Amino acid sequence: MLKGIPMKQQVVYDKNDIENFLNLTKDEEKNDRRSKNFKKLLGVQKKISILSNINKTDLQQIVYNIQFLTYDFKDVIIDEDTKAREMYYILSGECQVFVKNKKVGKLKAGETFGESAAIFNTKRNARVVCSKNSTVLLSFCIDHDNMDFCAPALATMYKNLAYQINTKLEDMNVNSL
Amino acid sequence: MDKKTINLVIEKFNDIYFKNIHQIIESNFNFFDEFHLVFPKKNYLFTYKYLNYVYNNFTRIDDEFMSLTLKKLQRDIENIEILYVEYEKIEVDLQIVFDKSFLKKSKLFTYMQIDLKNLKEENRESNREEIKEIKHQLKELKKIYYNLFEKDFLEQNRYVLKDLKEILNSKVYYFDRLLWKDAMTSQNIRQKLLHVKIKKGDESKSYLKELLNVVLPYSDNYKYFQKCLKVYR
Repeated sequence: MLKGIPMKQQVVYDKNDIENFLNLTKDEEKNDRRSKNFKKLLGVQKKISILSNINKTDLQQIVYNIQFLTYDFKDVIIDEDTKAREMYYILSGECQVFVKNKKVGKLKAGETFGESAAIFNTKRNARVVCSKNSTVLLSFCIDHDNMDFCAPALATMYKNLAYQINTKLEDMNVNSL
Repeated sequence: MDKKTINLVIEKFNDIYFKNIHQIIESNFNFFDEFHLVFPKKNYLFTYKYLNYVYNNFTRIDDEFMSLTLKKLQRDIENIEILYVEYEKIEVDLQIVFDKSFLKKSKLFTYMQIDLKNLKEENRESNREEIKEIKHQLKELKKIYYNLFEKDFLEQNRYVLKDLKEILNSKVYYFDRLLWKDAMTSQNIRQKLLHVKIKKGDESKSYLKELLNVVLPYSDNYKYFQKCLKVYR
């Protein structure tokens, strides 16, 4: 009789083992509740276009190093030609964007920056300087390496990014007319 | 035999071949569902070698620190890991499965081979053409069967590997948590870790950071531990 690969006898867990497992999960839930920074990120998730349509559990697995950062006027947040994995969301305040010391734009509360260098692992293509005292940012990184268990969430993120790039290209085309 | 019938034969073979592993997978998923255990999305599976390294370190300090549950869990992970490796190997040894298991179960091939054998044994000049024809038919039929078999078998095997990976990952996660819980109940281990900054809830990560300070840089372990740190971030 064909049976495929022979199996060893399965381990049987009793009531005690299950209780042990459940207690471990409870501890983990407590840790989750402590994660205020993640809750804040969840609160603004809809405004961060590359993170839209990713469910809470998946999001929790692909983002890490979530931090609140406060900057003052003239503080450099990211510098041109440097490498870093953080991307930023402006909670309050304002920033200015420079390319080769020339001002090219302004960023206000509710806007994000730093995503392309963080996602493509390339050098920053602009310098972002804080232009208002007590500007508060939410910074975070994306874990690209976990394709085994987070592939759908990462796929959604890359799709969002492609959409964002496409919108920017369309805007550029319209402006060049 | 038409394509539909061949597919049915293959399907039947695969059902029997994967029956046991499907039962194991199902019973594991049922167990997780029944007790609402978690399926983490971090790649804890990658850290299993590191966790064993920690486990061995702790065993050297106190060889009785592990609970019965931890021992069972370790045995369980080892068993599933063996299965995972075996099913992973099948993808490489597919031709062997096809020749040694599938063809032997196929009535058509068996009959054709018996015919061939009989004709050869008769050893008559008039049989030459017939032998040649049957050989050619066998070769062609084998090709058709193999192509259909490969597609269906590999697809089923990939599902098996995916499910086993998910089960293993979850069990390694519980192994990680339980390892530290048990270790912290041992006075000897606690004493040994007195000068190591172990953050509650982040024990594996904290210990890993300390390890990276003492392991030789650029050694294989160092590179591996650095990659593990990425999992815990």
